[in-house]
Amino acid sequence: MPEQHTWRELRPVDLPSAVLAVTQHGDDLWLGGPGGVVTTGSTSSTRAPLTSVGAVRTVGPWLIAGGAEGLARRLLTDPDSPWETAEVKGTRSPIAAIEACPQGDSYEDVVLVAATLGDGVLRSEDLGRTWQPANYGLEELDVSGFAAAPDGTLFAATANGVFRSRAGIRAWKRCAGTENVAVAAVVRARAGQLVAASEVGDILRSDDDGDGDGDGDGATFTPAGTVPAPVTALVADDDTVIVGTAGAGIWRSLDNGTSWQRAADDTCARQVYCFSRTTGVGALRAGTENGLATSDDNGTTWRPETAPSTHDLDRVFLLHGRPLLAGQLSGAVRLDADDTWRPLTGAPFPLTCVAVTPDDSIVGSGPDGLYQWADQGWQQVVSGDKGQVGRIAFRADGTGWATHATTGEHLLRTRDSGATWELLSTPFGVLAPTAVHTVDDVVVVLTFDHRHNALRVWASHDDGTTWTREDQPSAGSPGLAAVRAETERLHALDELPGAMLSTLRENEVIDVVERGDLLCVLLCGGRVWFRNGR
Amino acid sequence: MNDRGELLAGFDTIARLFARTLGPSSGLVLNGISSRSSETLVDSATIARRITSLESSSRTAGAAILRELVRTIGTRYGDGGATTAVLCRAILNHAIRVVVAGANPVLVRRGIQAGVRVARDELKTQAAPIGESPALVGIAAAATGDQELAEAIADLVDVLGFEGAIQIEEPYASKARVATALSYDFVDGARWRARPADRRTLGAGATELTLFDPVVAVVDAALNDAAQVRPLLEACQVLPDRPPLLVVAPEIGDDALRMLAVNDARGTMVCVPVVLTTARTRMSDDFADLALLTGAEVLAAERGTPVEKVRADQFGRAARVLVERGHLTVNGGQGDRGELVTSAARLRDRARDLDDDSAHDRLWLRQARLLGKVGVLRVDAPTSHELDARKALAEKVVRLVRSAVHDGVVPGGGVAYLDCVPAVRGNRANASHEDEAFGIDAVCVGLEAPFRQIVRNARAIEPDVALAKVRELGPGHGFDAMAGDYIDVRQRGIQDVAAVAAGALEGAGATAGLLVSAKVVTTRA
Repeated sequence: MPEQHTWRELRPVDLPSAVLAVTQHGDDLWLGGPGGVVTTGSTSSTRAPLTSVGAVRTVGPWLIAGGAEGLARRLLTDPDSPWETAEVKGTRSPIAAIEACPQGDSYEDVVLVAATLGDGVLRSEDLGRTWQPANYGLEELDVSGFAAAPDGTLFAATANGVFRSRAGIRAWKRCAGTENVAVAAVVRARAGQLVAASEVGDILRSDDDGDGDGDGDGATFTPAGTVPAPVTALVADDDTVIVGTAGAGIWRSLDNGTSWQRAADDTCARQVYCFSRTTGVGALRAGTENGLATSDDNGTTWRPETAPSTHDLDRVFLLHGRPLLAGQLSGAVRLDADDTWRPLTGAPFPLTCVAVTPDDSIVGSGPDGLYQWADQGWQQVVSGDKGQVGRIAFRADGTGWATHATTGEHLLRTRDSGATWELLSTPFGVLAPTAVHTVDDVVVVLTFDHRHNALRVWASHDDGTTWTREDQPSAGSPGLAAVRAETERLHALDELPGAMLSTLRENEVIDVVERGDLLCVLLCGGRVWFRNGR
Repeated sequence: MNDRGELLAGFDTIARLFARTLGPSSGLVLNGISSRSSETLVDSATIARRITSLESSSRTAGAAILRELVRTIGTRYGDGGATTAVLCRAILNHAIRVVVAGANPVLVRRGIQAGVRVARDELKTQAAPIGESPALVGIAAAATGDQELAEAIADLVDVLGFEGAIQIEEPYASKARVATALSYDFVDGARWRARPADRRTLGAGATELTLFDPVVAVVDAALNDAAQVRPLLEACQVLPDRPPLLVVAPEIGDDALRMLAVNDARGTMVCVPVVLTTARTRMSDDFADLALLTGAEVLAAERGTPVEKVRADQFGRAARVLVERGHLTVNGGQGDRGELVTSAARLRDRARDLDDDSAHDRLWLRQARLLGKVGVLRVDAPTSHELDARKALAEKVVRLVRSAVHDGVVPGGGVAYLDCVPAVRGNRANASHEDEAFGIDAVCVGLEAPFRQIVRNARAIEPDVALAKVRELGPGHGFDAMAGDYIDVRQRGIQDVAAVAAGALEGAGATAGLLVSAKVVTTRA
């Protein structure tokens, strides 16, 4: 048994992954993507408490990042410093952009603003530790980007026009000419000119720093040109305006947005998410669906640039004895017999939940319903909203339970390892279950009320037909047993090889799966360790 | 000296004090409080408050007339007290001279009224919209001498507009209070004084709770029984997606709270009970506003909509609601926008008719809240006395800057009045009697007085010389008392609020006319 008692690190997952945000600190690049924040430098890749990171920015020694879960920051001068989750008031929307508005000479004397897709603008005066809404005057709360003028005026691109705010960023006024225009990005081009791009590819321009008549009460944008695809990102210098599009690559304009030419060689990707103009070689970078691209000639030609993967593969399973990784946006990949990672194409997107059944098939859920994957591909087994599942658990006999992603009013049950499902009413209320487990013959569902910091434990002794709430779980309660089982699963880490343990930090283990003698550990940065015997 | 002479002497005594405070190079007035202490007075409003009696009752009466005039102008417009005194004194002195020489005081008074009307209309034609925020800062800074306060108020008024309301508050309690700390913010949405009815609502350590897309039950009745709450829960439970339920009432008793808490804990629905903490006499207004904003119906037995018979369509909706320990903030209310605007306009009209400051401010806040145009200015000072003074100053400047936004600005430094003189003098031909023309002459003299006084206070040049020079330069030109040169005052950013300039002139004309035509003066011995 040559493989018994042996641990080995599997080859890294080298799938193309989207880069949603880029910033530079010293010689290092920091990239935001579906799985969080990664760096090209040597700084430890402590896992950010964020996913779908659409904004990264450095302010002095701080790295500020914004993603689906809100905002977080990290001190870059200390390689071991952990991420600090920011206190964000009154929002639940993802972050699309972060901008710094200096109020003085010190980096600490700055107002940070964050654009959210649904909750307007957030403002921070303490280097990103706390954030408060600053939406006064905004007529639309989908904000996708900012442009800052040297006098401290900030322009915001929103789904209903461009808005401007003076120094201090407390209130907003609409810029004329942008009414009913879904603006995706705005940028300050050569002095005194602003260029805005709409979600359908229309380009608008203001020749007076967004203040049409100079009376300070607004701005006048006028139509300039068009590009043949929705615009996602803008960057400009004194001579050139460059747009990134959704589906048509990168386009350049040498006359401030009036006429556009496609970048000569933008084969890196059709879908562009962001630009970053940084110092040094490769001064202009683009974040694309396939990773990072660089241009050395101000956007005329582009080439792929090697960068760490930003995938969000954060769950590990064992399928037919081999590891399977899954992430909400990156889908699912499995390790084939030739030790290469292959995606399971056609998975629901986003893949909100995934599980491996006792008979080695996969069930996965997305907004359209619940799907099952066998060798022939993904097949829908529950359609529509009721199939949008948040948590799944299976018992060894093939019985399984899937709780809804957004409500606790019903769950799905299967008796045949996910091939067919029945809908059961449940008494969990309006809160979506945060966990479902099966321990012996008991099914346990946990709900968590963030307002009251209260965990509620529900148990069923008849396979989910009826439920009782354990108001005060005792030491022997099924609920606590389920929690304990989850904890014990992590005890397998005790058996990790010493060399590996010595490199681990507390928050680097993302997921662990054990099945029989097989054990697989997913670590931060996408590293996977596998043990195929005791 | 007869009684009228004494009265005018008293008037003149205090008017001369006010005159010293006019213009950027104005002097200080030292007020001896006792044999050991004194205070410096820099603004006319404070002088008006401090000087309460002169050596005789007749003089005191004269002083009181001017005090009241200055106080009224200061309260109404936030500025213009010293200008009023200077205008009034000059008009009165000229008018008294012609009356002593034999003119009919009633006709002189009529002439003053006619001259003031012409000048007021001329000021209106001179008024120009105030441009961008820096111009507002200039107006505010000139009135306060407090640049930080001026910038904050200018930004608030610039953003909120004329309809906006600014709540002036003290800063949050803090051990590390900074003596000159000042901050401001805009209320995103509509905010009421309120608190969670159940202290567990916010959860341990939390200071706020945000509800997304809640239904809002506006109950203008005390909720004491579980039976009153049950219909609310049942009506909400049938709504699609079972949204959070916000219950706003003047009072919510233990039984009702327990019912809500149990359903909340069971996860039946998210229930958040909130009680308004505004004064009971005003609470009905607040419930009506909240209902209007959210599209709810006020639930009250006396309105024929008892809470026990609530229907789902009587709930209001909002995009989000922020519940804090001291406030309830509603954002994105689903009430009819047209009704909101109409109701706000109605409240504004009612406010304009009110003389009572507090009732006016209350109505103004209500209409601003409906329109979502409320800002908060937090001022601080080292001592409570200074804090009160700074808050009062802030209130004054808010009124001034709001007037500037609404009525525009005219050239400052007394130039706007000077430029009215040709029009007023041109109206002399329309006088029906020579004595009436004397009254118009008095107004012309008065219109030159603020310019002369500013030059006199600068002590750089003879007022007559300066006046001749600016007339030579033409309309819009004046004297920069700080720099000591002749300028186009608007280009230099020296502007007065049009409403203040007109109000000061009208007040001065009315008082001067009154005094010149008064035959009998009675005072308490």
